[in-house]
Order: sequence, then C-alpha cells, then structure tokens
Amino acid sequence: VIGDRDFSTRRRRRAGSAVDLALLAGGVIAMAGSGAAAGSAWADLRHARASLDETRRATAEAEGKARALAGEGGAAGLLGARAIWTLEAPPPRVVAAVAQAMPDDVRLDSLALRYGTELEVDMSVVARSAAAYDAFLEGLAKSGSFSSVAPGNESRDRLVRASVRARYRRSDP
Amino acid sequence: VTRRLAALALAALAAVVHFAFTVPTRREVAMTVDAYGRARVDRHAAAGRLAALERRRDARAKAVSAANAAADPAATTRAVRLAVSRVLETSGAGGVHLGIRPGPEGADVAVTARGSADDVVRLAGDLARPEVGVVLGLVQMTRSADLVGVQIQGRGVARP
Repeated sequence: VIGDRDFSTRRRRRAGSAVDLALLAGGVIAMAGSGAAAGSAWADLRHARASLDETRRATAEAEGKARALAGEGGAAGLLGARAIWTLEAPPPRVVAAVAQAMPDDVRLDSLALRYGTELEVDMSVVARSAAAYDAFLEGLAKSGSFSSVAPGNESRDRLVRASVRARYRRSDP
Repeated sequence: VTRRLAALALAALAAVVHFAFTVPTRREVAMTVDAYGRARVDRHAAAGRLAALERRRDARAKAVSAANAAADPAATTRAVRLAVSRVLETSGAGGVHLGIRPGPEGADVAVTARGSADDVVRLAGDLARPEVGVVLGLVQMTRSADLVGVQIQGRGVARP
C-alpha cells in the first residue's frame, strides 16, 4: 500500500512557469507596441515639422518678393497706371460691380469709365422712386468696390434722374 | 519570479514610453498639423498677392516698353489695327467705327459701336485683354432705345 513515489533527482517544473512565460510575452508585446507607436509618432512629428518649415519658408520667400515688387511700383507714369487699371478693372468687372449695387427699380442710362491714376466712374441713372435711388447710393457706398461715391445733379418728375460719380476700388494685393 | 519581474519591468517601461513620449509627441504632431494648416493659408495668400503684383508689373512693363520701343509708328499702328480688328470681328456689336492714329506713345485707338448691353460690355472687355495690347483711357456706354452705344478710347501698345 505504498503509493507511487517520485524518487528522481530531476528538478520538477514549477506549476507557475506557463503563467510567467505568458506574462513575459505580454510584457515584450507591450514594449514592442509602445516602441512602435513611439517611433511612428516621432516619424509623424518629423514629417509635420518638415512640411511646416517648408511652407513657412515658401511663404517668407513669396512675401519678400511681394515686398520688393510693391516697392517698385509707381515709376511708370500715367500709361503704366492705366495699364494696371485696364488689367484689374476691365469694363465687364466694373459693370458687374455697379449692377450688384443696383436695386430692381433703378436703371443705368449711361456709364463712363475714365482710366487714369484712378478709375473714375460716372453714371446716369433713372430710378422709379427716391427711395430706390437712395438704396442704390447706399449699395454703391457699402459694396466695397467703390469709394468717394458722390451724388450729382438730380431731377425728380415721375421718375428720378440723377448722376453719380465714384471711384472704383481695386482689391489691394 | 525573475520572469514575472521582467514582465513587470517591460510593462512599466512600455507605459513610461507611452505616457512620457508617445502621448506628448502625438499632441505636438496635432499642434504642428494645425500650424501647418494655418501656414498653408498664409502661403496661399502670399502667393496670390505676389501673383497679382507680378501681373501689375508685367502689364506696366509691357505698356511702357512697347510705347518706348515704337520706333516705327506706322508699324505699331498696323499691329494695333490688326489686334483690334480681330476683336471687332468676333464681337456681336454693330455699327462699328474704328479710328487708329499714330501717337506719341503707341497708337491712339478710338472705337464706337452699338449693340445689346451684353455685346458692348463684352466688346469693351475683349479690347482690355492684355494680349490685345490696348490700354484703356475712356469707355462710355449710353443707352438709347433698346440698344447701347459704346465709345472706347485708348492707347494701342501692341508690338509689330
């Protein structure tokens, strides 16, 4: 009635060994994952910084050239000024800007564009009512496309007939 | 016990790397990307401003150099007439009268025409195109009945 006994001299494997291995593997995996994430974050940061630096460099370069060009202007006299106005304010653009400020009850009878060092705009308009004409003047002044909006002669019969002078305002680059 | 300690150490190290390096780095990436977005907007604005100034410089230089280089006023006048004629041929306006005379800086251009409002505005716009070589001086549009009359004066600087 003697039970089986182990008389071997070999060291017995400890019961917790498999758990230890699993824990170790988990640690290794966690470390590897963390390292990979850190590497990826670092690569992304380097890439983002390089893009930012490149963009800032290009911006500074463009601004430098623009400053130099802006400093050059104004030496070409009247013809040069007219050439720039012709380029930046061709008649369709000015007409569109006038039309945008024009209520339905106002009609343009004549329009003169004088290209010089400034672009002077003379308009003759016919409005169905004084209120419509007022709205047109206000629309011109608020449009941002015109400055020095000055109403001229005005006659009121059944309709309001009036002249308006203004300066076209180009957008500054 | 040694394995457990090693596992614990690795896990702790992974946590330290994550919280001390990866998280702040990701935050910095996000901030850098935001700054990059703003920088791109700035670059776009700067490029637009530069392009507009370059167009101004080119238009001014073209007008002035063409006017100064007009050694043969007759040749300049012919070149201007040819360029303006091409525009007039494709315009929908009628009653066209074209006057071109040699002037001190290029050629004096005078065009009168009649047509619908769209046609005369388009004609004036086409004449103002840089490749035509007319620097505008006066554009006058007057409504009469259903049509609009247009009178255009300018300086032709097209090169022969």
